[in-house]
Amino acid sequence: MGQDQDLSSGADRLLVEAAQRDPAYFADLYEQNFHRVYAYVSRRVHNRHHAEDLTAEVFREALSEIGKFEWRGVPFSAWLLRIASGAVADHWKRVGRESGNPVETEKTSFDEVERSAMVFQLVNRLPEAQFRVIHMRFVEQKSIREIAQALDRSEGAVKQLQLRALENLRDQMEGAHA
Amino acid sequence: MPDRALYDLLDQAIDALLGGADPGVSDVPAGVANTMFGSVLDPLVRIAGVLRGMPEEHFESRLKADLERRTSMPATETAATAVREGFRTVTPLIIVPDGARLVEFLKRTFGAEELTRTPVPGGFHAEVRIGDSMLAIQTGEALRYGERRGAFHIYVPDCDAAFGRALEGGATSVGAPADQHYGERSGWVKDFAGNNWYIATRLDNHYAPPGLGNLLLCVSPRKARVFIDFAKRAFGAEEVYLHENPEGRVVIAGVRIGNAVVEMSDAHDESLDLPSIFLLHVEDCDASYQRAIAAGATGLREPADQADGSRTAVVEDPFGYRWIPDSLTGKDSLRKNTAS
Repeated sequence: MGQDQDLSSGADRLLVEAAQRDPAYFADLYEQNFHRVYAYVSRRVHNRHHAEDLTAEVFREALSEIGKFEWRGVPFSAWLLRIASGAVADHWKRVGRESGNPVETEKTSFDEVERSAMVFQLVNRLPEAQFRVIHMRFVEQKSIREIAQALDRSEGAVKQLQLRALENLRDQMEGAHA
Repeated sequence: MPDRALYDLLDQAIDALLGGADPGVSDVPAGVANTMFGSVLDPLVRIAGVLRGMPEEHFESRLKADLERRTSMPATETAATAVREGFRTVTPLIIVPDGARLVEFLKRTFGAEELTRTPVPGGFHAEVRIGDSMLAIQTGEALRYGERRGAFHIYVPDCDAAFGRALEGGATSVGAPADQHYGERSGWVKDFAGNNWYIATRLDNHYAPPGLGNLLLCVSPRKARVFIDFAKRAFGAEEVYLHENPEGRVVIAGVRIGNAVVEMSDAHDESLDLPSIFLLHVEDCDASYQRAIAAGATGLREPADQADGSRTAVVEDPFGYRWIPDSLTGKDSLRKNTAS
């Protein structure tokens, strides 16, 4: 396990140094960390549009500041989450100023962030019909009836797909932790 | 049937979850937890609680594309400093007899804001802002050199509504709004003056693509690849995207010149290739003029100081499009902040 961590840390470092020399390599860092950063932000702002805007802000800042990142053994993802933490804090300050009331921000644990990031990653690998139902239900906030009409299926079939999708995610999460 | 009972109960729990005021709660509702399926549903409902925050389907790829564009932008960001405040490096100029009607059409159809209207012999030169982009319209003596029209890919919040307003304003429908496979809903009109407008709304959270601006200039040269090569040499353009069909025809391509994007495809119909003219905001009009000539453009008017404090020239590229390199000659330029 220690060896795995060393390898992973070494690969991380090589990737960061490559991106510092040529920003085109930043795409790899982005792909490795997108779900983690998005999960962290979305758990703290509870609004999809704000979470997307702040996630974009975090990666844009990381891209423009990557030259200043110094390798001290701390994972690159920790540096990204520090930027994200600042962006979220600024967001809530703005909200507090606009509403006239200070807003208490809740903390979120690393495990919760990792768990959410894994769910977001796994949902993209669901069979198309299951993914479509999950996206319409949770992102587009459609009712079962609306989804059934849009997909030309019965309401029972849509509920079945919803159940299968969640069972699939549960099984894969359990498999990943085993 | 147990399976049916299970998916009904799960949906009942998800309904409660989605309707809940507190986004932190993702427990199985009591009415469901007390059933024989409570323990089975609990992990599923917890996952559903996480899914409430899942990103929109294309957000990850859209942000990636935006970051990739930024990694190839530093040089052009610098070039954009020569641009007048509120303008992009390339600003389209439309020269038509009834400029006043066109300005009204743009206001009513796209919510354009008229920022300046300066009298010129026989007419006026107006500058309007549409969203985050500028457009110049001229009438009067410039018509001696022929009308100049343009084609535009314009992103609006509601494609269908803008399309309807365009028709009410006298435009002709070329293609009714429809969902396109490349992620936008768009329709196409030709206005009364002959300009083409591809009116579009992205089918995601942002009606316009991030980083490109909401008004893309379009050209239809016979050979888009040759045009791109010319634009690179003449104006320092950078290719942002290019898609060909299996026969090798450029279906869509975009080049960035400073902070503006010019979109194009190989013209399959000569009537689509409009005689367009563009203002090119540059640091040094003379250097830009010479560079365009060296790349194959023809000089129509050599660089000269203008009364408003700018220095301009006119060139025509090998495809018949005209370009006006325009630099601010000093701090006292009369036009520097007219658009702010």
